[in-house]
Amino acid sequence: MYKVFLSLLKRDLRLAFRHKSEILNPLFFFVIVVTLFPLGISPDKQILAEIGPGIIWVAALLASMLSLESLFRSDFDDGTLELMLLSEYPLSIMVLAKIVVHWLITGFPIIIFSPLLGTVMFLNDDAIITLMITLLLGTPILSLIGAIGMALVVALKRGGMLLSLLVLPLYIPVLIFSSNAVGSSMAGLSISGQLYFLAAFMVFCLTLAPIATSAALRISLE
Amino acid sequence: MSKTETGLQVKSLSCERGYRELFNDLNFELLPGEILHVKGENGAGKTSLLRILAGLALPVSGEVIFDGCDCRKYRSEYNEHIAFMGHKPGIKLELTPVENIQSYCDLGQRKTQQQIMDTLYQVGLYGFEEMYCNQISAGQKRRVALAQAILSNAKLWILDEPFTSLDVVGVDFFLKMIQQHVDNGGMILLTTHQEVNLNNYMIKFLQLPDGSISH
Repeated sequence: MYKVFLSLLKRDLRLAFRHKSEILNPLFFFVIVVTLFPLGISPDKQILAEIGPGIIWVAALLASMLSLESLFRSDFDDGTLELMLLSEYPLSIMVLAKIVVHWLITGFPIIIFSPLLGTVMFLNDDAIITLMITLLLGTPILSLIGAIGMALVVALKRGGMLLSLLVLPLYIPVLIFSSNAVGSSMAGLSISGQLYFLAAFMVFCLTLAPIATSAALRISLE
Repeated sequence: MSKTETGLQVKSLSCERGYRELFNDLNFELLPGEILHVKGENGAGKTSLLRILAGLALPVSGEVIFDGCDCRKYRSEYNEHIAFMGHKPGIKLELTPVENIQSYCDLGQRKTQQQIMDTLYQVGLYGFEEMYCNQISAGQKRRVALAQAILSNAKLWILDEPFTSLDVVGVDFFLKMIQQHVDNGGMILLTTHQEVNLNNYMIKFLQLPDGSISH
């Protein structure tokens, strides 16, 4: 069963590297949005450090959401999604492979670039480390929840608006706990509560989202 | 799943699309070594029937039984036995034919590189194995999809308009493959608007929407 997982993982990574824009677009979006804020609001250290965690997290959330289309859209259009549904292996395993790839090409580069943007927003070292930890715990949640939403709207021609309506409310807890954790660590407070919540939420999504996504795909393709 | 090979049985199948009844109380069976050609006008429900039989869509009522087992209850076992070729090509344009077939085979039984290359030569894609699929023609893409069906080892091939955009040689080759599959005890369910010459075989015709069977 894990061979199917690996094979699909390899296939989707290969596809992503042949379509470099899939990797670069979310990352560019993330970097540009965050760097525009100092220009638009004020380069003042105090103000930026205060709004920084929230802005970085909102940008990461939107970057992840805007790239959800790549998750199932092309597979739906060319019919390979149907072939996956007709495989003898569980669909949730294949869906999980696709979600992992989505995280690797959107969430992972964001984590790598976040220290740079943390510095731009005048976050201190502790806050930057917390930012990276929250992104590490939080971006997989964004991919996992986003996959359920994308699976529900994949058969619709213009599902973009509906997708954000479905998915954004579920992203809110991640945003609140993550940016709060970064802010607290900047103030020198304990952040274990927020991190425990994020970790628990990630495990919860990791176990249930692939099953929900495959059920949603079966409904969508009918 | 039991080992008896009784083929595919369809019992009182009904289908609706957008409050319109496409067919009602459809009954037929398909035995190993037989071909069933589903006929009907545009919009008669041929594709819907094939999607129901492949397990991609749900019927309003009725059962699909394969080798004595309900195919919805034994989905994974059933999927092992079918190869589906729909309107969409089922191949990735950014991958080469070899990569496409490889990733298709990984969804079921694994195949060696050699087996894949042999099949590619067989379907006449010699010299195209390293090209991306968006550089080859529509007919050649069909041939890649055909190679996937051949390699799947499935007993039941469900083919929706398989001859679209194939040239004369391609259709002849496809027919040869269909005959070979049927000779080996396979089953074929197909729709096509083209005149195909399968006179020597156990071919049945299913007329939609009334569901009458003729030989």
